[in-house]
Amino acid sequence: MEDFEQYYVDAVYGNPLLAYIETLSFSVYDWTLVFAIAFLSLEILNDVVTKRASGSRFVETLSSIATQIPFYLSEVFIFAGFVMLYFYIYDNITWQLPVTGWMCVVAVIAADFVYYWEHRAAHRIRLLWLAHSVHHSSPIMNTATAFRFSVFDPVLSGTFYLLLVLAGVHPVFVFAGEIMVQVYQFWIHNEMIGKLGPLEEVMNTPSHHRVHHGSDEKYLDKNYGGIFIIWDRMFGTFQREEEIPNYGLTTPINTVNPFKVQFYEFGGFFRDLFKAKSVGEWFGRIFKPPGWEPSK
Amino acid sequence: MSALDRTQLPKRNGLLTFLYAVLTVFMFLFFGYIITTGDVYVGLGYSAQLEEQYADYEWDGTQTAQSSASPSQVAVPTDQKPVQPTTLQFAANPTASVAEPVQPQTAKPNAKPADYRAAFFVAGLSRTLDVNAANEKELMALWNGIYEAGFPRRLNQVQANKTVVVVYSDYNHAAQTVRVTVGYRVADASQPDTASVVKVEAGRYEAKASHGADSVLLHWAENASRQDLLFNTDFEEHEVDAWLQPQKSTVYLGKR
Repeated sequence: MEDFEQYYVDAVYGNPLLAYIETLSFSVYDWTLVFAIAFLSLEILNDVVTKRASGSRFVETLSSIATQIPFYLSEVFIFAGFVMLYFYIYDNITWQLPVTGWMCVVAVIAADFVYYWEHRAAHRIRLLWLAHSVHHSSPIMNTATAFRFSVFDPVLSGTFYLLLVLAGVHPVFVFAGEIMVQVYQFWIHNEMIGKLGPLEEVMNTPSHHRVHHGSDEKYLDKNYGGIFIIWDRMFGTFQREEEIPNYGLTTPINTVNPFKVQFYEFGGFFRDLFKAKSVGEWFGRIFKPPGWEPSK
Repeated sequence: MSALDRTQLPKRNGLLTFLYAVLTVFMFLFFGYIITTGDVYVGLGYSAQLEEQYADYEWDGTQTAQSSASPSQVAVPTDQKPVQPTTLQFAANPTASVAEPVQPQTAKPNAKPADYRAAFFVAGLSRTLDVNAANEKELMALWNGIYEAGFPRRLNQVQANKTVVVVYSDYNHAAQTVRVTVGYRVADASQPDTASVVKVEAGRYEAKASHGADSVLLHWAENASRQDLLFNTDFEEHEVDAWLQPQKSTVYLGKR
């Protein structure tokens, strides 16, 4: 591990651009948390002023925030593992892309593209939905929801972003892209901002993302984009917000228990696996979308 | 169904909604600023962070190099600012070379490389200088951090009997340039060193550094490029080029 630390220092801090991007990325992430606290405070204050506040909404908010504890614990180890894996792969490929400022911009856009497919897979493959469903299980929509994560989310992200490393993108650029995509999305989890005019056509916005969190039939599996909504337009998953969605899962979890929040979907998943009558059904239960049945 | 009417959103307080919108706009401007300038600590100052990080760091207080004030803030040109390069170990070992890694004078106990991210960041950016600090405390902290991780010390790449004096340096993230006050002289730890600002102009100043009977002029140049360094310092072309070489050519010292 110490060897890798030394390697990392040499590889990253020995290059001014990489050092800049790496430090900047983490700093942006740090500042995001500061802004998130401010946003959430205003939302809670708004709830109080408009008499919308309730004990259940507040506890639900705390429940979302509480998911950060197991998430961070898992991320520390999983992220460290992916860092080493990324660098190992990058150092052993011969098609490394140049480390330039423009390449970093390209990497962020590419990361957003990869995120679209990661996100889409997380909704359409039941195994991955086990993790991502945590993010969608809150029946309310506020900034805290943006930080509602599964302990398995780092595995999901790390695996998909590996594609960029395999494409020759420097790991630091990949992490920067991943962080930017994540950071961008925290501000779109709210009901304080309506529609944003022309920006709605290109960017992912609070309105688009409310749709994504809707459990209404027409809103299901829509608006997967991270920073840009153009991916959804290109791949047929775009849906405008036409009325305020009902948030949460199609089957509400009705709990704020941190353990149940993390593993709510697992019980049904394993029950379905055990009752599978064929290998085909067994695989279907794992890799088909949530709700898939053999007869369908 | 028609397009969403804003009134369909849950009831919102006008003032709070306005504040929320202002905060959102401010956040984007803020992130735009730090992404384009690299000023990631925005006024809180990385120096403030280091002050806290190295709060328990013991500094004997004998050295007072230039403060972090900009040249225009250098109020007393004749103010004597003793320079004690022994803190960088050069004077104690003026012929330090790549074969003779210099031990830091006082390292922070139990310090780990991870503590020095900001230091590496600064060092990594300032291509021409490994030590980049606003005051002695930072200077030493940076130096130790750089040393402990085996970070390359290009300061040692100058000629064996010359020592770089870093009075003050700063950097511009966006332009990836440095502004530095540098000079070199024959090192001799037995003689006291002093430095004084002798000339202040817009964008640059000159400082006179005395070393025993010898003295040299230290030059300051903002956003120093290769040409700036060549023009404004006494360094030879090959020395400046050595500083500006890509990282791969750097000689590693210390624990490596």
